[in-house]
Amino acid sequence: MIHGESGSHETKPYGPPPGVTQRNRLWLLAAISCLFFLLIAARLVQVHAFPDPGRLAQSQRNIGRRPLHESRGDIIDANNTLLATDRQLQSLWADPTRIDDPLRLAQRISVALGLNEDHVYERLTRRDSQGRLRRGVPVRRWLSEAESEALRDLVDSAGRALWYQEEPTRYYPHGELASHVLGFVNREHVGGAGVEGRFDAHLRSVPGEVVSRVDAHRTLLHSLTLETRPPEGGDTVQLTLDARIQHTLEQELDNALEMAEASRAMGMVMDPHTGAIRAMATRPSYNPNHFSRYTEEERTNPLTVHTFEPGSVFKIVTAAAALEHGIVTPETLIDCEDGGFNPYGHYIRDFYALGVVPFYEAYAQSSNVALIKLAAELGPERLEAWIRRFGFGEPSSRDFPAEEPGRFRPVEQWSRYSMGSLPMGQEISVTVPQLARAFSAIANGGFLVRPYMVESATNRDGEMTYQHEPEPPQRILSAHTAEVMQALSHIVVTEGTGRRASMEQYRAGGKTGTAQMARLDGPGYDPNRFTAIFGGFAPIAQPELVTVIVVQEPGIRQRYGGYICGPVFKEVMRESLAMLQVPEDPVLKPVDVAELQNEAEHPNPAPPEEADEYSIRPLDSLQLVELETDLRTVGPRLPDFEGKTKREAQTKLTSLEVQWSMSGAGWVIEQDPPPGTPLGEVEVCRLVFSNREPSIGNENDEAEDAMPPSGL
Amino acid sequence: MISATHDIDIMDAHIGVFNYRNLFRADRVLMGLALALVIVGVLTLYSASRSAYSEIPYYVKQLVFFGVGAVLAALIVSFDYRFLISFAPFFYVLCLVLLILVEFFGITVKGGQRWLGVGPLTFQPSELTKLALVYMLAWYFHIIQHRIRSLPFFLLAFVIAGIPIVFILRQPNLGTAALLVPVLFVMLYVAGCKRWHLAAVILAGLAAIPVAWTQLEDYQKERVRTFGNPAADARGKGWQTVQTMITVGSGGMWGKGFREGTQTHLSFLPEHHTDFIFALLAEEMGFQGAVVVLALFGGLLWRGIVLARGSPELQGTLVGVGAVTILAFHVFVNIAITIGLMPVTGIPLPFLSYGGTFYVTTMMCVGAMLSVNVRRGLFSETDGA
Repeated sequence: MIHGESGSHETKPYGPPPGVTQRNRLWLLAAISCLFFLLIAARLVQVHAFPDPGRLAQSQRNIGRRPLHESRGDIIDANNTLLATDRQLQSLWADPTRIDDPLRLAQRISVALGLNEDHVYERLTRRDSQGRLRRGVPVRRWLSEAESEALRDLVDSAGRALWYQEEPTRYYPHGELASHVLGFVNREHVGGAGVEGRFDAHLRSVPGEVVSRVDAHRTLLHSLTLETRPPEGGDTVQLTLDARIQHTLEQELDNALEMAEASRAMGMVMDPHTGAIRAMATRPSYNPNHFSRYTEEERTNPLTVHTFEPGSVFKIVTAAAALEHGIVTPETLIDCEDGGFNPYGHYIRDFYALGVVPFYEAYAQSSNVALIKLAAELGPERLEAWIRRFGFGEPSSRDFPAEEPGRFRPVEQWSRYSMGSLPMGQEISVTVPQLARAFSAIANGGFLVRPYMVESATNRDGEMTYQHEPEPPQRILSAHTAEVMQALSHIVVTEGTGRRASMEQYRAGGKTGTAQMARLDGPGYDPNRFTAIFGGFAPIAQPELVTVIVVQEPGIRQRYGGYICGPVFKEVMRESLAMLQVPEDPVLKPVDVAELQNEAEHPNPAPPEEADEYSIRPLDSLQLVELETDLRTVGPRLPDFEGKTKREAQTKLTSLEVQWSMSGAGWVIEQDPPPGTPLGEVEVCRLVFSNREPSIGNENDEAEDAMPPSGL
Repeated sequence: MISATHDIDIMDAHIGVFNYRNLFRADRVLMGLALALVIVGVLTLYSASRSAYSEIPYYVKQLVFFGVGAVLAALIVSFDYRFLISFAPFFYVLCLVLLILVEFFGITVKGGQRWLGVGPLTFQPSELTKLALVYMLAWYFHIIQHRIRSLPFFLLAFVIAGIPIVFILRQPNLGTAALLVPVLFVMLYVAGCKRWHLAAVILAGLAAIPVAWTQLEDYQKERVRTFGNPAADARGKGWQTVQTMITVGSGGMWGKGFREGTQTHLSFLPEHHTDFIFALLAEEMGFQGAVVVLALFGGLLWRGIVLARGSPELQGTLVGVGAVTILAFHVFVNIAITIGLMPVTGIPLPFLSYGGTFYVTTMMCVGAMLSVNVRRGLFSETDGA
């Protein structure tokens, strides 16, 4: 303790200890502190236990949504060639509220882009409905790369007043190729016509959405994603089209359009067994990349909406019906009345004046008289039934957005002329797909197929969302009739009106047609406007493709289906079949008509349901005489040029790819080697011309090409 | 008694101006509470570092500040507080010099010229002034003793506090200046001034509010107006208030979980690592977390008052009370702002808010609170003898 006391010098309070007053005053401070603590605690309870619902809701609003855009689906052809796709192009946008000097900016932009300055100025100063300056205005959408490059410095220096924004645009890598089939995509990125329009539901991409928390700058936070909805649609649509065949067809149609000085050329290539459309084109065409430069009419696919009278091509219906009902066989002799008769009150004229000839010859030379006689035998009811049977008067395919079904009157409304018009393709309007369908029935052995051009749609996960479902084949012709029709069609190409369609590599069959078009200014036919048609198929042995070529309003004198459309058919067929690697089916052996004739002696009965309704009644003018006929020799042989003009001979020799030498002027009087020499043996064809008047006869091979119109 | 005497004997041998053994005698309860708050603070800042980016994470820097503050606090505890008080005028003048330097060479951050740079380091003299004033007033009241009850000496205390307040107001740093006023009042009161003197000054101060209002900067007026109706401009000036309330309220009872706060981490709440860190705590830890931290602060302050009251000398009590007032002011005002009881002004929360100088100040306050009581046991013995 002593020690302790001694140390108290150090430990002794330096100053006075806090008095009672001071200590008590401390309690007051402590009490005040407690009060503060209670206040804060109470407030915490209030804030936590009874949060302001409005403010909590605001915290819920801190949720951002970002659309997940996916590009529109691609369109590809049967070989996966890209026909339509999406690509991102930069658009120039402006914020008028941030532009200081719109006049000067408009000037610079308009100079760089070659636009109207007033137009640009209007956009740079655009106001909304309340008169306030808009905050985002597209100045020019979808700039080309060169354009966006030209503006880059300006945009960079303009700060937030100008900016580029990527926007999707539809791109058709092949330009005009298949434009009418594909259609186009409008500015709202919605399909406008063709496949783009018809299959918009599949092609269109429905944007998905990411919902997630956002921070104060409204930046989405991916770690706090609440919901993700993937985009839907954007399926890849595969067409049955073959871009190569399409290209060939378009090229040949272009040539035909130019050569024939025509207003329109249409063509279609189809697989006769499945109805798969391999190519489909119309000239003139349009470029879907710049769809807005064309009128809506120009953008519509004429193939599906444009109807025309088929003319003689329609005789396949009449002929097939007559054959099916056993009214006629290829060898049945028919009196063609030497080129014309008048059974129904108006004169029916043939292009070639034929006498009594076998049916196959009348058909090959497209005799109106013969077919009207057969139709008379058939009767109106059965004729109408057969027209329907071939699919005329109904839309041919589901894949065309708005197809015109074509028109003909029901039998009750037929006039007295109808039986003289319909069998040769008047008083009826058809579309190209309908004709292709009819030819397919002949080519595929008697089945009516339904044309289609969209094979499938596949979504991004590889699942098929659409697949073409073929209808069960519908037999409209017996196999035998189809075979006879094939043979008849072949004769048309080898010896009849369709000779310009014949080719070395493949034997083809078809039918020509030259139809007058209706007057634009009133009833009746226009003597100066024609539709030239050729429909056919190849190769004969196993038809792989059907092609229909239509050229309208040819401006040249030779406006016949065989003359104008035949070569188009030939080129398209030859190249297409080669592309499809169809083995060549050259014209080596003659068509064995006798063999056909033997079969014709035991004709197939007509379809039973119709056989009961109709009885076959012989018509006076129809001589049902069986006749032995020579085997018609066909093949690549040198034709008889006697009586031909120099131009005709040149055209023919060129098409046969034979070298020639010519002397004299006028018409051919001599030819060496003689007609019928196989082409393989011909090195040079020498022709001698003379001014002597040519002798024109029925047997004149090139009459259709040479003769002036005979008031058809 | 013999063993006790022996203890005293040993300790006495070491009592002097500086004795590190004071650290072992310091109040364990207060140290425990302070340590708990340090841990909570570093963890909260660790969470805040998730979104408030800096090259070195804030909580790491904060640990360094804690180290510096702990060393200074240990020094304060080790020194005899009477010795420190006797040097108070020196600290006081040093702080005034530093404040004058700030006036001319200060670094301006966010509109306030408050920082002084020494090499790569920066610090705020106004922070140091807080504790320096506490010691200065304790020195003054010790000198004048009972004369505090006479008006001139009473008013002289206002002069002592007024000089630094004026400098700090010029920075401008309204928060710190506002802090020094309650420190002065509390110390005057505890030192034993006449109640009516104090009451008169407070009444005069209230009467001067309209005058003071005209002296406020526009942004300060705006803050007060916004406090009245934050929703009126929720996207602009009311943003901070509205977002703070959303942040605190969205925490609910149990909070969104450690480092799971969305409001704060999604930068809705600016300054969530400094002045508004309590909002982050409330959001992530909920009501319960906020209450726990509030209780820790309450315990700390309570213990500080108890220790101050137990100080053997009035000057010790005054230092302790002054330190308690500094911390209490920060705790109350910061939390009150965060939960929408006061207009927004920059007052950090001790132990939790990021900030070097303030952390050091906080630790020094804790040191001061501890220091006034380390010799209490000795006096009990002496008194008993």
